[in-house]
Amino acid sequence: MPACTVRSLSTSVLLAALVVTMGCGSTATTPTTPEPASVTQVFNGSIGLNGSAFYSFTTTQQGTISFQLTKVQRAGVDVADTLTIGLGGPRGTDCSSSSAVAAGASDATLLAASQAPGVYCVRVWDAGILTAPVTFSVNIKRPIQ
Amino acid sequence: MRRLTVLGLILSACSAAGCLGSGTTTPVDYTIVSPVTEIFQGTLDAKGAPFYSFITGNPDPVRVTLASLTNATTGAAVSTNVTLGFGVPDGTTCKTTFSVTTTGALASQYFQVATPGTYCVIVADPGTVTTSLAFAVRIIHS
Repeated sequence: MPACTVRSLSTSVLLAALVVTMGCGSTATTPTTPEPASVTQVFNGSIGLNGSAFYSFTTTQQGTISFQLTKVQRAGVDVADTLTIGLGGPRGTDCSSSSAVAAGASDATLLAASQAPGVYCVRVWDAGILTAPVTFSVNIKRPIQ
Repeated sequence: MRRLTVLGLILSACSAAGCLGSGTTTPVDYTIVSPVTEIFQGTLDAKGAPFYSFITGNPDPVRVTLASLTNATTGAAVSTNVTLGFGVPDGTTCKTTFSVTTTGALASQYFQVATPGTYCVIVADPGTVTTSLAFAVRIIHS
């Protein structure tokens, strides 16, 4: 057998092996990064008319940050008042929120977004709706440190 | 002639860099190329602990100075000792990695190189505040 034929055969075998290894012909799948383990922190606070409060936390890896407004109460009694909640970064004496949503207490996830590692804050405020001070609870779910 | 020139250059460079065993050390440059100055002004009440967050963009020194401390009502300077801290925002406060009990001064109470990130400065009552105090903290960072 001439040398060039042997070489061609070897090349074909190698290519075939490569195709089998790479799964050619099958449906391509995009590798996904697994979501890291998460932890839930509870932010309990109170705000008055047009008031605000915020809570800071640090994440050390990329992952989803989400939150729920689980409780809004006045004098210990659940109320349906709407509060505005935003996610942002601590700036100066406040939390500069880049995204926000207005909602009443529920089990619904109000905002969920994948975020890079960093220092974040959740800000809760009254957008002029409250008629009296309230207490609230926010569950903040974030990648575990 | 050329060799002599090269040798001379090497000797000059060595001399400037201190590599002839003279024992000199290269001074560390703590200059911030584009410093940012932020002023944290507020009122400190008894048991209070207001804090201020900021972002550093480069691994440069951060200088924190409690520049002014006065009686919030009269405006008179006071020598009350308060706690000045540096750290990272955490929960509803500033979790400190450094703190000192001090009063208003011209010199920085905190000076440290910090990696880029979000930090905070807190002014707290260590139990000495009996009347509201107005304060101003100067923060210089990159």
